[in-house]
Amino acid sequence: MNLIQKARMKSPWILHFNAGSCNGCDIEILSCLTPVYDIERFGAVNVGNPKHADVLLVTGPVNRRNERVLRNLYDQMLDPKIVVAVGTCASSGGVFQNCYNCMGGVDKVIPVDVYVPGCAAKPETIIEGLILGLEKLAKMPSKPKKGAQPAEART
Amino acid sequence: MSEGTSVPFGPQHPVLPEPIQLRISLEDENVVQALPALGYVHRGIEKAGELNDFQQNVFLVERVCGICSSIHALAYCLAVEAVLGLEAPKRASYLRVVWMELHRIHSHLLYLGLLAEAFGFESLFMEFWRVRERVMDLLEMTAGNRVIISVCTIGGVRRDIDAEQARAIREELPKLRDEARRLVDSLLSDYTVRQRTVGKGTIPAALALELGAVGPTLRGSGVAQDMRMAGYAAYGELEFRPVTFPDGDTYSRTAVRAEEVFQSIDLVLAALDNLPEGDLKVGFKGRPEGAALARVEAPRGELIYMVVGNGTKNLERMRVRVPTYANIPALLTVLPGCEFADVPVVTLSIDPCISCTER
Amino acid sequence: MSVLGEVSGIARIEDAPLESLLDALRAYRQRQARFITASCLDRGDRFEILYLFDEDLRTVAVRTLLPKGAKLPSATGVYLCAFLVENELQDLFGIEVEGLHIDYSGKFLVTDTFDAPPLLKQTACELQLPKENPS
Ligand code: SF4
Repeated sequence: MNLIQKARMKSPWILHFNAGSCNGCDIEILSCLTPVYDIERFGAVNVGNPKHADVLLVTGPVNRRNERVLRNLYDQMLDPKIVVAVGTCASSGGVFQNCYNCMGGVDKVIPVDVYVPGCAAKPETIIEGLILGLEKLAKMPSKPKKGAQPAEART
Repeated sequence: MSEGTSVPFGPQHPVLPEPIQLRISLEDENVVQALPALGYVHRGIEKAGELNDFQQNVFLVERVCGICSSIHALAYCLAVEAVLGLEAPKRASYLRVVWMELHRIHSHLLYLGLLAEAFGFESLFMEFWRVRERVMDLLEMTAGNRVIISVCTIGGVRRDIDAEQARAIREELPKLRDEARRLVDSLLSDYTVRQRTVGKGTIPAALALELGAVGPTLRGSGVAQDMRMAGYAAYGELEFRPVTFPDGDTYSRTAVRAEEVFQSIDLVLAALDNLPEGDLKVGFKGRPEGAALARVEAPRGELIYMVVGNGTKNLERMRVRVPTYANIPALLTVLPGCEFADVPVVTLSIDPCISCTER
Repeated sequence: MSVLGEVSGIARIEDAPLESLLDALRAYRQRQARFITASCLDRGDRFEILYLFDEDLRTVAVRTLLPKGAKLPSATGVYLCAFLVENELQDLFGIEVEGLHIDYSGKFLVTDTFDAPPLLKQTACELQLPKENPS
């Protein structure tokens, strides 16, 4: 692990995007930022600018109008980056199976690295998911190898 | 207008936890028009409510909105119970009050924190959310989940609060009251906060009624209307007086919510004190045939469910009217005339919940 | 085709033919009833639309029957706040509302990727079954 990778692991900047969720998971993500769970002890900061972010936390089943915005945000983020789908409905569509305006999960639109289950996902689980994601992030090369696709899709 | 500027506010904006876009036309720094662009959270729950079994719907409607989720479930259950001709047992009605009011406390504390953050009062935001964790712990202890608690079911409730848990709630709530009191006092008496909220986004009572505003937005304009006065669940048997503030500005709306936190604490304690013994739910046979409408008070205002059953296990129609839906016209009417820098705070002052609005 | 009979929770339902709908709404406005919302039901060859009002915590309703294909006069001239729900009727039921104050022309909630208004009974919305999930 080189210095840059090490530094990146200690200061993951997070972009949170609500892709049509019910808010349940969003307020849990906000709870993570507040004193009881305090995600900042891992160096994580919530930012609003996709170009600053290393981690994209997505909640919600992705609705049709949001799909474009989500793809856009993902493309704007610089490599290396990871995507964490927070909540059951972000992972698989969950309870919104019969809803006509839902895509049924974040992985229908962009590649996902970590799935965080729970409806709503608990703050502990979200933090765990983030840490798992960071371990993955640490293994990613800082620069993509020549000819490699940036941010290869999840298997 | 020809020299005005148009600014999109959202869908990704740091003060808004949810995607909504306001298209704002400006003349210098003053807003002349605001129009919402919705549809970023529309999922199609009303249709799904027709495709699902009517009992599954309880879980679906809880996810219309994660902040007031169990209140959606209550409204839906009340409507279906009315169609089926059921009445929930006494104990269930009281337990419903306990959970609904705990939910209201968490929702209002969440609002107060977000409002503080919208001013740039970061430490107060953290403090409100720290206090809120006490309620979340109570919800987790009694219901097993923090946000989506799934306690209501058709005919009653799915869980009980035993003596041990009731004692824990009784011990915790006074502590919460003290801490919240300190924070609320520092929020409402702070000079800077007053400058940012007093006289901002004023909705006079007549206008609020005309535009159909509900909940704290209406009560912040001095109109004492609260669906809990209608006495659904066990509210009819508990002492209850709606909280109102007269001025109709952002400050009044905030003060209403702050006072309601304490009122809700009292209601929870009163409901626990009067908790009758008995069953948790009544069984039922048959399928809904007929129509019913249920109105309850969610943290953001009056929530309405209308269900139409046709004698099969699927409903003919499930109609949801949520409080933010009713408050948006009032917001759009007061935004013109505000300064652009006040838009986030005034928008937040109706406590918008977009995932409710779009379903 | 039947219409709703008694609805528990609604104190009174007043029938208003389409031509005199706005007059009926105006009467409520004069009595200072608070407009709650409108609700629409697909009844085969026509729509059943209920306009709900609050009168001192009681719910009252005005009902009108709209043949499919006919235009609905907009209530926004009487109650401005009806513009949200009327846009929704345009989106989700494909009803054309005439004289709408703020008109999103059918792109209020849904994108234009739908070929049919989703809340009509004949529109089958395809189910997303779990087996489609790649994981
Ligand atoms: S996983 Fe559940 S709680 Fe989280 S956003 Fe989806 S429906 Fe809401």
